[in-house]
Amino acid sequence: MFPLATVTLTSNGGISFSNIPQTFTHLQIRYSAKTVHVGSFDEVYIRFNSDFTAGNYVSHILQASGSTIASTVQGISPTLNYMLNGDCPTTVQNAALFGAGVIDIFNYSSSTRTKTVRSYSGVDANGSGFESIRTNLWTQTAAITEIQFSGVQQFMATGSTATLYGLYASNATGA
Amino acid sequence: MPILPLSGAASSKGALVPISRVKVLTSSSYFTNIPQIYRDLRVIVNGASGQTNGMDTLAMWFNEDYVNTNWSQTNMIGNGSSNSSTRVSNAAFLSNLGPVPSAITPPNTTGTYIIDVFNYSSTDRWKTFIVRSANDLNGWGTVQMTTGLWRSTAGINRLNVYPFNGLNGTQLWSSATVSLYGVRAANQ
Repeated sequence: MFPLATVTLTSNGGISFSNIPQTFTHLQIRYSAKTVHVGSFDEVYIRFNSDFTAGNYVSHILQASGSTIASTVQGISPTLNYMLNGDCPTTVQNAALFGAGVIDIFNYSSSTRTKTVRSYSGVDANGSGFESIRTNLWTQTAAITEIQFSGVQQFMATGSTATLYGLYASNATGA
Repeated sequence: MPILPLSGAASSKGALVPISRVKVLTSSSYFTNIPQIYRDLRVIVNGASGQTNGMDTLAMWFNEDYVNTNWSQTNMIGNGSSNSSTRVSNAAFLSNLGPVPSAITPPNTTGTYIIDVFNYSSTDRWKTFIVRSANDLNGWGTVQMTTGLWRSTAGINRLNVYPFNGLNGTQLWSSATVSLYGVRAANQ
């Protein structure tokens, strides 16, 4: 597992990783983030290779709220042009509160398979919050060379940070 | 952000750096003087409690803060037949980050706990962490994910992790390994 790039926002906006080397087996993103949405909570998304085609992304989500658990699928109806990858708070909350998560992107450089993405994430706001585990599909077989990462309802807020890692497979085990 | 060639100094170093590992029988398990040079921490626990009155739970706190009600958590739990979500707010520390097998469970049965502490050395944000725990006792068991919050902007330099009921008894762990790793960012 090797760190490829770290971005910390100095103004509200999105994060982009480009020219991703095709030499690893998997990718991982670790983030600490919030958005400038006017509600109390938001979600983060990723988009690959600037593919804005609605319907190319599907998300299966198991999300807990502190009292209930819901299992949903997103991206079928309505269709989405991004995949929903995690929970985060917003600037409505305390300035020191950020959500966090880990996103694994499997076999990102393959040109023969669609891309499966798994994530776990959460935000606890001392009395409210969400956490979730997610499996996502990008229906395209193209190798991933670029990742856009931002908030679903609004841009990410200043101080949000994400690091992209490359993971090698083991020659011995294939793991 | 364009990715630099892998010959760059930062990317040539592995991201997961072992900081310390303790193998404990009955003694306490904590890490002190945690270096403030990584982005995240990861703690991996595999063990069983030494208490004898039933299943135990995993407890954790940072920087010896167990009195100021700075802690909260959101849980997602499955036990093989049902699921639930629970919450704890304004706690002195977090006492249930997942069930811990103990002396009443099948021999040599342990639980596993992977704890990710994000931006642990940051001084501009409260500390969010995610715990993924599991134990299977051959017919019963639990999987749990917890998102926790420590409402302090202090950098984390000490981390305590215990079986909660064992903490109140005479024996903490019956056996356990507890490993601490630093997770390097690209600029570290």
